[in-house]
Amino acid sequence: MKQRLGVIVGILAAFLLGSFAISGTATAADAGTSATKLEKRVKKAKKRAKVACKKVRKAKSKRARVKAKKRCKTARKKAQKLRKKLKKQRAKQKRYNAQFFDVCQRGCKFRSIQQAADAAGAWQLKTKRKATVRIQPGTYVEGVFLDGRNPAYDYNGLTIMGVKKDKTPNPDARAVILEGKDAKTIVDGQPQEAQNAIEGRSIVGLKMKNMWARNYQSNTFFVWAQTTAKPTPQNPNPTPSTERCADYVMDNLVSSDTRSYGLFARNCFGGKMINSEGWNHGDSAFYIGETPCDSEAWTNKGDNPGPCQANPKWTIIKNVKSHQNVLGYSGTNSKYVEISDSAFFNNGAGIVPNTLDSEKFEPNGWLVFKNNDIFWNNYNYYSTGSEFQTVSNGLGKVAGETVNYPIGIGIVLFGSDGVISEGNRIFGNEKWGAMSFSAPGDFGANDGDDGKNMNNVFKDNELGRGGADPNGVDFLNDATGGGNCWVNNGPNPTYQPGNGSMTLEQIYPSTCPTTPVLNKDVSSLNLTAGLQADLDNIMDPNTVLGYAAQSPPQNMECSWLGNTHPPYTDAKGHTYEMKRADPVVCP
Amino acid sequence: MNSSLKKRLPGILATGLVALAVGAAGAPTVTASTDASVSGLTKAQKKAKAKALKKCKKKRAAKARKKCIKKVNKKFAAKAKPKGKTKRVDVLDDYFTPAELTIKRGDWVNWVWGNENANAHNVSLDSGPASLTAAEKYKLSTANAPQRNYSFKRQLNKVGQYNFYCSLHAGTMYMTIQVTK
Repeated sequence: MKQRLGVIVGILAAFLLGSFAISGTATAADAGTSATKLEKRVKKAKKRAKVACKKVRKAKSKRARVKAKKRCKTARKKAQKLRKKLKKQRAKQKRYNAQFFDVCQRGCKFRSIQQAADAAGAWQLKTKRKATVRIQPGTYVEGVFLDGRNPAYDYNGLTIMGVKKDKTPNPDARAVILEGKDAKTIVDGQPQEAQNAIEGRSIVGLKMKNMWARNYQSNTFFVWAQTTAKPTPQNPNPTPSTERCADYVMDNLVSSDTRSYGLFARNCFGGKMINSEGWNHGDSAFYIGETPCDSEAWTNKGDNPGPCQANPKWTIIKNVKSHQNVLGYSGTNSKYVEISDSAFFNNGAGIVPNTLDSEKFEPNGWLVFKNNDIFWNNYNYYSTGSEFQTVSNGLGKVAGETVNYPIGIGIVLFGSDGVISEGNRIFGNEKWGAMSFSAPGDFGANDGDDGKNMNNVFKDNELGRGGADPNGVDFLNDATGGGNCWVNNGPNPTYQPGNGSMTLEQIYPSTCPTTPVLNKDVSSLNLTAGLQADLDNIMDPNTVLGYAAQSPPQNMECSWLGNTHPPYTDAKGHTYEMKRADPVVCP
Repeated sequence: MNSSLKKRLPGILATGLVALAVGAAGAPTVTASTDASVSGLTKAQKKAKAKALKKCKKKRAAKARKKCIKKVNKKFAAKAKPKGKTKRVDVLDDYFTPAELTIKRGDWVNWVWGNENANAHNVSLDSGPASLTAAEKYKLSTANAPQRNYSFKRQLNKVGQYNFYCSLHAGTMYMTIQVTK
């Protein structure tokens, strides 16, 4: 009896499975078959109309002609109607073909983004087509991890986006919230405290749109790929990495309140961060780290250094707003990044590409910053009353002094090669509008002396809003490196002069372009001009080292102008509000 | 009615058989994930676990079977006593400490992420003893890149040199572990 019962249950289960399978495929298939049927009907109707209309010409009597005309008209009308119907049907079919995986809190197939993304990844692998995860308005407490190495999924080209209830794209990014507080991420089947909102490893063409991620342990939207290890004495022949991250799209995203970064890409070949906003990050709201080169052995040193990438894949950062962060933009060893039409304001510092030993392919360079608003970057997060805290424990010791991230500056070029800053509006930054300096190996700032200040161009920048909102001083250059130039910035640009032993024209050449210099021909050290460091007065706040070494660091503010800033409305009509921490009581 | 059922019966039975076969094939994969040799159970514990798993396998419904296996695994995992000593490696900004380590075969290494970290880090095995399989290599690396509040513990069972690095900070973050007999 028991055995029979088992067989019956088995049969019933099989029936159910079968019926589910049939009903699952029915929707897409139905649309397809009905479209082909309609096509046949349209063809027939056309033929009929043609035949009927021919009869008009052939009709001998007037009466017959009138009758034939009527028939022709009706047949044509019918054909037209069917054609319209076919058009509609095709559009419907197209909708079916684009595969969607819907997430919402009630009534959708998926309740978590991770589940939907995994289902979409499995579907993409099976069908070799592209899927979209559509997230309906609501708050999702989770961290999503997409492992592009996992052979069970194909996440390449996957789109994850916030939608309205009617499943159309939602321009209001704040309607779909990814909440990091108490969130967990499932990694290798085990739940972990969520470090990121969405982390994508080794994925090409991952698209994330229309979402707001906040309160995560580390970052919000993070894409990366493993880089090959550097040869070491213990491991002279490392295994080449086969992972690849490229062509990601981060569009209409909002990121806030994380310990480190917001929109974050590392070791990726090109991508886009556009139409997005970020605030309250312990480091930067937008970060591009370690742009990979064609060859592992690439360097900008030697007699004839080639490009990092022969056919560069650029990263585009456009129409973004970054405010109230330690740094607006940061990019360690980043290359081929164009930042345009964006606003960096109320940060500790605005745009800060940098060269560090910790990542490969030093230095940073070949960047373009154009048509940006870079202003009021005077948020002294070292002071009391700051709405965010720096995650950094300082930048270590340079020439025996503990240095910290500098504040009160619009653009900071730290060991950059070939950066063009053009047509930006730079104003109201109370220390310097833009500064450029080396990471001297002799001071212990960089092993291998990779971070030299060279071949950078500052041109056509509008400074200090025509005198209405000046920077403390518009430019500081530490007179190291070479091949840098400053041309057509104005009106009346001001320059940090140093100790007078070098002329302003020597420190800030006004002819562009100058002949590019080679790394091997220039030095990262200049103690003559009195701008990099003043060895007689090491804490001189008008030198790079003295300013970054101010102790306590909030005292950097003590050398600012302390001027007031009139309200600012940009070209798009957006009015900005100034925010800063409590003012420091200076000694 | 009867004739239509007759017609459908072979198809139904075939589908049923396929479903049963899938269910049966699914069971071993569940048990395979719990590797007793790594678990460090005593002989008696192993015997008890095998007995309990055998009981589970007898269950007809796949769902109940899976649930039972999961329960058994959980029960015995808690009692498992890992063999070998555990050595701690701190994962900090942007280095491992200690960067060189010598342990005995069967010892464990526990990588612990510093709570003050500002950067995300991972543990990636670049190379190890030649006899390591691809699956073992995969298990000796973290999948994602955490920043803090995280630890990663692995047992090294094969003698030789293991070269690890952080693939996000390949400029500075390296470590070597020598596993001896």
